Amino acid sequence: MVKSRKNWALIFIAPSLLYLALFQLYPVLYAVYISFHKYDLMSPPQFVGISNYIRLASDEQFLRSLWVTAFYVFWTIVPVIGLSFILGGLLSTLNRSRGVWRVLLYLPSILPFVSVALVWKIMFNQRGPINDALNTVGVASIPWLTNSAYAPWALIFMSWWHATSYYTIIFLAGFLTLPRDCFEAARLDGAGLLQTIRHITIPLMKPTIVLVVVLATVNGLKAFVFQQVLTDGGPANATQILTILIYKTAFSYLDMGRASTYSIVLFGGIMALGLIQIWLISGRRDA
Amino acid sequence: MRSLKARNWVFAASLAALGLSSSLANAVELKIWHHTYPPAEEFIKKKAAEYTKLHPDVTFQFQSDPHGDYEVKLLAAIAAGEAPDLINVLDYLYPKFVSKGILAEADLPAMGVKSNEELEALYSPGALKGLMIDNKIYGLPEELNTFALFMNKEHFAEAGIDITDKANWPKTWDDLFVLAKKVQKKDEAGNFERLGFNWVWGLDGFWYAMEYWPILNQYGCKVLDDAGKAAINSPECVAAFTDTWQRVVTDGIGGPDYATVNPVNALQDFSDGRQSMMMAGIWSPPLFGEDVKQNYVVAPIPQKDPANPKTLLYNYSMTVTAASKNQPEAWNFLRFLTSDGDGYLRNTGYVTGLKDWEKSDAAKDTIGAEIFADQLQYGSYYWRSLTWNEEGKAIKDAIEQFAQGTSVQEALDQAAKQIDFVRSQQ
Repeated sequence: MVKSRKNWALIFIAPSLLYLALFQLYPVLYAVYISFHKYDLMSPPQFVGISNYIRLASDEQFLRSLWVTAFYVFWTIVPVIGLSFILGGLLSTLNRSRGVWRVLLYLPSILPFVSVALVWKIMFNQRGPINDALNTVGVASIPWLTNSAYAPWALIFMSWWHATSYYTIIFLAGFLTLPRDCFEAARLDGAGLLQTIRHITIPLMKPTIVLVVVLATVNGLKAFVFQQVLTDGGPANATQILTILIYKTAFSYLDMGRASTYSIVLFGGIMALGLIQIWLISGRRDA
Repeated sequence: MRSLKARNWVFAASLAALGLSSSLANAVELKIWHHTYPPAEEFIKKKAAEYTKLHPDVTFQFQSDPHGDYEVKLLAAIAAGEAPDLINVLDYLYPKFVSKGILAEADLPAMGVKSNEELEALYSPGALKGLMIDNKIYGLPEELNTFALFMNKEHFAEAGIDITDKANWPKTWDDLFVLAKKVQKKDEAGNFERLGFNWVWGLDGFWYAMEYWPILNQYGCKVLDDAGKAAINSPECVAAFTDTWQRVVTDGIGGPDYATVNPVNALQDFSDGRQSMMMAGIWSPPLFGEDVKQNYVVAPIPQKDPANPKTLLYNYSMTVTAASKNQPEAWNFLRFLTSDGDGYLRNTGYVTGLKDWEKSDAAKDTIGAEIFADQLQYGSYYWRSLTWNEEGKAIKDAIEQFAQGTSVQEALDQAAKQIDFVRSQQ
């Protein structure tokens, strides 16, 4: 009986396993394989051992991209998590109008990435509405997308708008599941707002915070469309995050070996960061 | 009698089926990929329809993408075994594409010629040179081009300069920058209302190269030395970029901060009347706004030494992929398409480079055609390299760096380092 149930279980999960193996596991393993080869898509891969990995240390484009990626991810996730947490908390206190606010806040997340990026490209244009608004208050136009000092920030500002919408909804869901009696008990014990947040809200919200931190980091590291559409990694590589470099190396320069090596590094980085974050935020403190 | 009738029916049906299957067997659908340029797209579709009328078995499928994306998608499609039959390729990519076996050698009989010489004789001198590797021809010119200086007549008239008078044309880069300052317009706060001149900014490396390549030649600057090492940081190259490209920024004439970046129309500022002078090809007028369309003058590009002019020569060609299963038909269509030089020039502004194109009626009706024809003779093709894209990108990055304050020497040193790194990977 047990054996028969196991067989049925295997039959039911087989399509999912097959899907995962074909479309998730196989590409990852193939990328690892290609990273040890020189491969231009047109001719058969040529084994080069670990030379692609050794060259990373002297590859200035890669090192620069790593820094650009780290800068972008840090300045995207830290403010976004704070802002989303506050907005999620505030939304949870609303009753009647919560639905309307929830829809409005979630709108940026459901719009197609490319359309959103094109709209922002127009907004950041030298003669776009953002500079028009600055001009009307006496501030000179800012070369948002054509200057290395401003372009990374233009993308970061845009990502705040886009990512906050998504994580606010996750935080809101977390806030709505918190037990009310803890807060009532804290209020009766005379706890202030900051004390309540520190000792009750944050510990209770820990699973949601872990989820958001990990998701935001992974999504930040995997960002591509906004950089591709708004700046294509420029000016002077100021916004060339790792994914853009991977894309160009693979499809413009036809160097799949090098591109796969970058991808494996990015993959390893995402996995390591995710595990460290989970360990730091939940595991270590629980231990 | 009845059985005879039935037999006749069966025979007729068999014949019809045979005819249908033979017609299906001969049916060819040629896939054409082209970079986005609406006038060319319309013209090629029109010619394709004409070809289908002559050869009912041949039909076409057309796809276009903006320049930068186009190459990426094309390579991805070829790698995936989905190569189109006919593609639009820039001459600097020929060494790479041929070395990877992407392009098919020209099928001379399919084009109705017997030898390379016979084909070359149909074109202006040097027109096919950029499309040849080891004396084999791999494509036909769709757009044989050089760059000239476009100037807005009305803007100059406002500044009290008759730019239709050749004596007022800028001969040197200094002349150009002096004129740019005279014709530019600023508001009371000092913001540009109109630029006198600007380079292209924020586009792909090829776009930058179209503007800096003739300048590098004028200054004796080489991207690579004879040993294949980067030479872009040589004193000649530093002087070339300092005297021209950087000066536009440091003299407050233009720069990236004032440019409208539009990959589909890289000439947006001039086209919309926000810029008085620009460097561009003969193909650019169809992109101009109505106010600018009949209101411009074409002059040769400025020179370091006007007595010894050096210009750009490039070829945005049409060619057939090695993976195409319909190569003879594709080459035949290509010859049919590109032999309509007049149609191309009138409808798209492209010069197909056929011999004596400049004497055609279409050329006579094209503003500045004689300037382009004259400038082509001083042109040279880009440097040849299997890693041109990465090298072009390194130089573009250097330009964007020194435009923001990095010294030209430092920026070009970085570019040279990057070029050598890339070449060492080969």
